[in-house]
Formats: sequence, C-alpha cells, structure tokens
Amino acid sequence: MEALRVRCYNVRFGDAILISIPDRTAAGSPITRHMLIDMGNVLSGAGGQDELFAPIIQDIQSQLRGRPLDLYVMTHEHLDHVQGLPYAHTKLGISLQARHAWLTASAAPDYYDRHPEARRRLEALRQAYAQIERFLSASPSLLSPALQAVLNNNNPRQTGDCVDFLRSVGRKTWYVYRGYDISRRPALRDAKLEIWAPEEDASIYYSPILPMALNAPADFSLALDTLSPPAGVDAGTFYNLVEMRRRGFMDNLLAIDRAANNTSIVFGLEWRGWRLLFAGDAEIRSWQTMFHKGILRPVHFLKVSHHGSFNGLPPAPILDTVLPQPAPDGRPRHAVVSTFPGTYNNVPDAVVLEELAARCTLHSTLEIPDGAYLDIVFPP
Amino acid sequence: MKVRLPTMIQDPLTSRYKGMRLQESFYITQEPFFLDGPVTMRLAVVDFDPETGARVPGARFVPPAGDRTVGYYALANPYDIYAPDFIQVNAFSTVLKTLYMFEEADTLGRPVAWAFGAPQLLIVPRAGEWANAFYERDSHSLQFFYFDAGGGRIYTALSRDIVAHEASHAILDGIAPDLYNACTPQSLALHEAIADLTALLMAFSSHSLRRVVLEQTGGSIRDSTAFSAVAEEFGRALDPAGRIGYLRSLLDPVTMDQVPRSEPHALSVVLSAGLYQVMVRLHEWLKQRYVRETGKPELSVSGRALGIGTRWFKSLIFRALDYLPPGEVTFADYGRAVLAADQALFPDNDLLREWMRQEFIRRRIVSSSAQLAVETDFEHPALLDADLQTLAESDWAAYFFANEHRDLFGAPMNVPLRVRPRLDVTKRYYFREGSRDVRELIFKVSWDHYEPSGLGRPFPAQRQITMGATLAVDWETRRVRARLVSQHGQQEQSDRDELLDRLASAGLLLPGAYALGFDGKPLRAAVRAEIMSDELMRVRRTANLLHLIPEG
Ligand SMILES: [Zn+2]
Ligand SMILES: [Zn+2]
Repeated sequence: MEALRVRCYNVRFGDAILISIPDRTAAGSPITRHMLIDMGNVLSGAGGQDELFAPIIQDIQSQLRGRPLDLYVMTHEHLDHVQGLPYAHTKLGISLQARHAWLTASAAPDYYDRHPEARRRLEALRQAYAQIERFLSASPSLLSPALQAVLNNNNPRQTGDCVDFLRSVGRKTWYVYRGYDISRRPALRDAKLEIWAPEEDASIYYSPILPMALNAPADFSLALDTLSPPAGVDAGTFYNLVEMRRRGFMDNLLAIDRAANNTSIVFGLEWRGWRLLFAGDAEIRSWQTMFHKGILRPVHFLKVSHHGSFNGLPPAPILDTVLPQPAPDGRPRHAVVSTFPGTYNNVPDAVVLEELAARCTLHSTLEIPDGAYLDIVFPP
Repeated sequence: MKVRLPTMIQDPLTSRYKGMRLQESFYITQEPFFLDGPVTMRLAVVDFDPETGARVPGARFVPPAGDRTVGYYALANPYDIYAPDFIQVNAFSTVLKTLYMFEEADTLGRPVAWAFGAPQLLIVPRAGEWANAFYERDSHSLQFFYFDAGGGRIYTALSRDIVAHEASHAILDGIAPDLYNACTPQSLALHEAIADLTALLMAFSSHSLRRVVLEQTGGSIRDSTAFSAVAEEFGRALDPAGRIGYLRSLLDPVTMDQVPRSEPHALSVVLSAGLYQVMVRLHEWLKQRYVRETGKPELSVSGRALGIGTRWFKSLIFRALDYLPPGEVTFADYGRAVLAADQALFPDNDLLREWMRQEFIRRRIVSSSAQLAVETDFEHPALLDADLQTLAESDWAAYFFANEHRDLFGAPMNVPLRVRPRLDVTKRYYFREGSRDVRELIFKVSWDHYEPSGLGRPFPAQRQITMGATLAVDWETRRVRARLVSQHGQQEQSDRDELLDRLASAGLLLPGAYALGFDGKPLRAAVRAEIMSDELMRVRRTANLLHLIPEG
C-alpha cells in the first residue's frame, strides 16, 4: 500500500507544500488526493525569484496527471503565500485548478461587513501602513532590504489582487475558520482534516497601534527651519527625541505583519494513526488561542510556522504539547521549515531550529537547490 | 530671579466644579535661568505642531525689568487654557512643582538627577492623538497626548493628576533607576503606587482643592462615599485608561491575597491604598489635636490638618526612596525603608511607624512586624576612621571600602560588588526639642543574583537580577542610621516567574534581536530579554509596561 507524502518545494522565502494522501473512491478503488498549501515568495531581494515557480508547477501537474487538485489552501494574505499561482497564470501561462479552495475566513469579500470590530482594527492597521509607506518612500535611506521585504509582503493592494485571483482557483471556495463545516469539502475517506485556527473573529489577532509622529521630514538637514532645537536644548538630545517619537512605526509594521500571520489557517490531518500539523505562519497569539481552547495534540509532523522565526515557534508549554519529549508513541517525528536567510531579520533563527531538531527530524528547504523539493513519507 | 508661574488646579472639564478657580500661581526662585519654551537647566518643553510635525516656538520668557521684580511667561491669552503656549507653561510648571515636592529639605533634601544621565527632562505637551501619557527614559521625555471625547478635545498635559503622575515616574527613575528594568512585579507596582500618591499629594498641595474636597466631605478624607464622589468628579473627564480611577482605588480595602501577584497595576493599589490609610489616620489625629488646642470645631481645623498632614505624609513616603536597596525591591523592602527613614526623622514619635506596621500587616504585605524590622543607629569600626568625603567622591575608594567590609553591607562573599554614586544629603530632622539639619552619606552597593529563568527556549535557562544594600551614615557621628539589604525569597522568585511567563505568552517579552526593529534599535513596545550568553539573560525596560506598552 502507498504512503502519505508531504512534498515541500524550495521557493526561497515563501511556502509551497503538496500533500498526497492515499485514499479510496466511493466505489472503493484506490486514489491519491492532492492538496496544495500556498504558493508564493517575497517580492524583493534574493528571497524572491519568480522563475522558480515554473518547474514547481510542472512537477505538481505531473503528480496530478490531468486531474485538478482536491484542495488548495491559502493560509493567509501575505505575498509570500499567495503570489505564485497568479504569477504562473499571467506570466507563465500555466494554471492549476482545484475542486475545493480554502481561504482564510477574513479573506471573504463580505467578511469585514459582518465583523465591524475587526474592520475597525483592520482600518487602523491599513491607515498606519499607508503612513509608513509614504514616510519610507520619502526617506529611501531608511529603507533596508529587510524593511522593504516586510513592506512588500504586507502591501494590501498587491495582496488583494492575488487573493482575488485565488478566489477562482477552486470550483468551490470556502472561507474557513475553526468550527467551520468542512466535511466533504473535500471528501476524504481514509483521512480526516480538522481546522484549529484562525478563530472566526479575527479582531483578536490585531494588536493596538502606537502613535508614530511621521509627519516631520526624515532627513533633519532638510528641515532646519522647522526642526531645530529650542535655545538651551542640546541638539543631539532634541533629534533623538524626534526620532523616538516616530519610532512606533517599527512596532506598527511588525504588528501589521503579525496580524496577517495570525489569521493563518492552521489545520490537522490524520491518516492511519499519523497526525500532521500545518501551521501556516501562525504566531504567538494564535498558538495561545489554540492552546487555551484545548485543541492542540501531539503530532508526528509539523510544518514550521513563519519560516523558522522565533515569532512562529510555539511558546515552551505549547511546544511541549505539540512535540512532547519523549515522543508519546514509537513513531518517528518530522518538522519541515521553508525558509531563506537574509530576507526577514533573524529568520531562520538558529536557536529555534536547534530546539525543533532536538525534538524531531528537522528538514529544511535550505538543504536543497532552488525549485527542488524534499519529501517526507509516512508509511501506512 | 523670582518668576511667577500659573498651574491648572484641576483638569478643565471638572474644575468648573463649585465655582472653583481654574488656575493658581506659584513663585519660584531656585532656578538659575529661564528661557523661552519654557526651558530651564533641568526641564525643557519641546512642542511640536500636531499637523506638520514642525517645532512650535515655546512661550516667551519676560525677565524682571525696571521696577518689576518678577519674571513671567508672556501668554497670548492667559485665560485660554487650550492655547499651545498655556499648555506648554502648564505642563512645565506642574512638572517643576512635582520635582520640588521631592527635593524639599524635609523630604529628599537634595536635587534629583535624571536616570538618563543628561541635564534636561524634555516635556512634549502635545505629543499626538492617543488617550495616554508616559515617561520614556530612552527619549529623556515625558509625552502627553490628547484625544477627543464627549465633544471636546482633552489634553492630558492640562491635567494636574496626569502630569504629576508621569513626572513622578521620571523622578523616581532618577532615584531608583533599577526599577526600570525590574522583573519583580512589586518593584513595578511601587513605581505606580508612588506615582498615584504623588498625584494625590499634588492635589492636596493646592489650597483651593483642599478646600473643595473638605467642603464636599464634611472635613474628613476618611468618608469613603463622599470622598470617592469628589474623586470621581475630578477623574471622570480625564480617564484615558481608567487610570485616574486611582483616587477611588485609594479607598480600596484590597489585600495582597486578593490580587494577582504578577500584575503591577493591581498590586500597586494594595500599597497606595494602604499608605493612604496612614494619611487618613494622620489627618484624623491632627484634627483631634487642633480641636483640643484651639477649641474650634473639627471642620474648621480640617484644612490646616490636611495641609500639615500632607507635608508629614509626603516626607514619610518619599524620603524612604533614597533608602531603598538597589535592584529588585518588594513592598516589604519599601516598608522597611519608610520605617528607617521615619525613625531617623522623628526618633521620638513612633505614631506613624505603628500605623504603617499595622497597615502592612492588615494588607498582608508582611505577616508580622518582625518582617519590617530594620537595623538602625549602630556603630561599625570601619566607619570610625573612614574618610567619608573621599568615599563620597571616589568610586575607587568606595569600591575598596565596600569590598573590604562586606559584612557592613550585608553583601554575600564571592560575588563582584558594584558601587553606586554616593549621595551627600542634608535633611531636616525633627526632635522633641525642635528641628535640626543632619548630613547623611547614602552609600549603595549592588551585586548580581542568578536564578532559573523559568522560560523555555529560545530564552536562556538562567536570568540575572540585581540585589543590593543601602547604608545611611550620619556624617557627624559616623553611626549607621540605617542599613537596608534586599531580602528576597522563593515567593518573590515565583512572582518574577509568573510576570515573565505572562509577558512571554503575550509576545511582549522578546529575546535579543527580536526586541529590535529592522534598524537594530529597540522596539518601543517590547520588553527585552537581553541574551548575555547561551545560558544567561537579563530583562530590560519592564517599566514601559506601566504606560507605554499597550496590552491586549
Ligand atoms: Zn510567510
Ligand atoms: Zn504610572
């Protein structure tokens, strides 16, 4: 009998994961179900290279043998998770179809009409984003590659276009959250899917915005007429104050990034006693919520969240629930991280990878060439 | 030079209360110079246009000239409290007044230095739109925001309560800088309790305000219903974060076992309300005394009793701050410091000390008065022939002395010691026969203490915290007036575990580089776990939890 296989492609900084599950048709004959989770990478710097998508999509097509995907999952609205398929369609002329598509609940066109509190908080984040974008475009000297990457990745216009495209990838599109009815969406006989996150009310993932004072020019030397220290005040101290006053923009940019990550679809897959956990880019707030709802269980596989950053690592007591030590059964355990260094600050984090490697076999897309894949196989 | 400054008595929406005046003036003579802003040697108002971000010129200073002997700040319209120049001058004068409250001879008896090691504390009176105000060490500043509520714009810089509260965070940071990085929840709570009581004392230091409070309460600040009604009236308009509810919370009978041990704000109420009870008893006691002495009815002596009581209470709770041991402190450490300071201040009168002990026991801060015992007034051979002047001036001499006489400081053997800047203070002390000034050398040493961090990876397994001792030596007699040594047990350690665990779970405690932005500078709203080695961390910037870091 066939094994279940998780194939993780090296798309540089982003995710593209194909799950192939041995299953049965209604008539009882064997069939392999294919699920693709995300496809994309960041748009700036070495972490983004769009040519990679061609061989990857060709490989997926050859696995599908002319059939559509059973499920496409868009975990959350970040370019490094959504931009691959629209790119392949418009630039390479290749498309993938799916019977079903899951998009995170808050991507539903009418979501914010139904959730006014989430709308209020989203609007605050969007407004902050617009101010930061304006400020940084007027002060290119502050714009490091890492800052550019996080700015692009959270660009609501570009992400919005990709999400629009992804709405039509599936013949049926479901905007899912924990508690959403996914039975027969798609139909699986030997495997079971369970959504663990996000919560339907995304407002719990949005943290408050700090004031930023971004209206003064970034370059002090251009603004001596309006931004000089008062008589009797040390100039260095004064300019430090001006800089500190706008400093909240770094916090806010991370809060914007974090909010989207936390809306990631996190789901469990159970097949012949194996339990697999696909965590998207879930960060601490989402892990905490899952933990306190008592949903999390020990797993044999973890798709490492957020490219091996500290922010994606479940806090210690939660990690002990998901990957307890020692393993509760004799089965081997795996984790896979898709990442690329030098794109986001401190990603991947050596201590995070070390911690995971101490608990299970850790696989990383860094070990394989661009566009290649690594397979993790779970025998029946 | 003599200068007159206006201050708001209460916030603008509530001071219409009972026809009370909106502002009162006070005169200052201590400052060496005044510039537009206002800018002085130790304070500088830096105002920015909320729309353009440009710096706005500060209020113009008019020095004394001709036969006018008093300087002042020229305000376009002194009755327009919403004009930028009024807001500038008000924030400045309220901060200055708060500073003086700490520095007076019967309190610290010395000028306070800022924790950031520069001469001026910057005051940003219109920092932007937010229902908040905070002190931030990294920017050397107090920042007062404004917000729209109930059809009007509310400037926190116009609120005497809020300005005094935030100013006292800056002042306390200068006195006890280790509290800024403390991870014992009670250390942070102490910051908050002192700030709330400072706001209260600032209110009581206003003659007009005292009168209104006493009229409304029939002359007693003990009557909780009447007092809290007034308190609420004062606090309602300016309640950005529910913070001004502090006045009501001062009447809260809450005890240590009724609050979460890791929540600084909830904990602070136990201490501030406990201390407030001492103030209430003092007021009642003074009233009885004045009634006896003058034969007047209680109500008519209540104002004088509140005025005098406020001064006594102020020295009691602030003077102790110089006696705190460096590093992490608990309420009990503070209680011992209060008792030691009061013992020195009023050797012949145990009244306040007894009330303090009762209140600390009733609030379950300590279980017995034995836990509040301090070593006071003793001799040590090392001090008899020590050159105090050199010890005060030379770090090297101080270090040698401390290292040589660890027993005198109660410092453990085999740990490296650090000496802190010594303080040479002259304070006024009261004896049965009157008052006299006493010169004191305050000598603090600290050392590192290691304990399990209690946090999983990627946090290191051990954390470093600071402990220490304070020695107050009478310059003349060379006797030790008080010795206070950090006393931390298992309970305090588990309180720290709980706080840090809570912060880590909320994503507010970030290890190493994660507490930095993309430019490598600290994030504003993060507590940082500094990674000292694979195995060791220490925590930084926890005090920002009090107002700067939005939780939830
Ligand atoms: Zn991602
Ligand atoms: Zn405070």
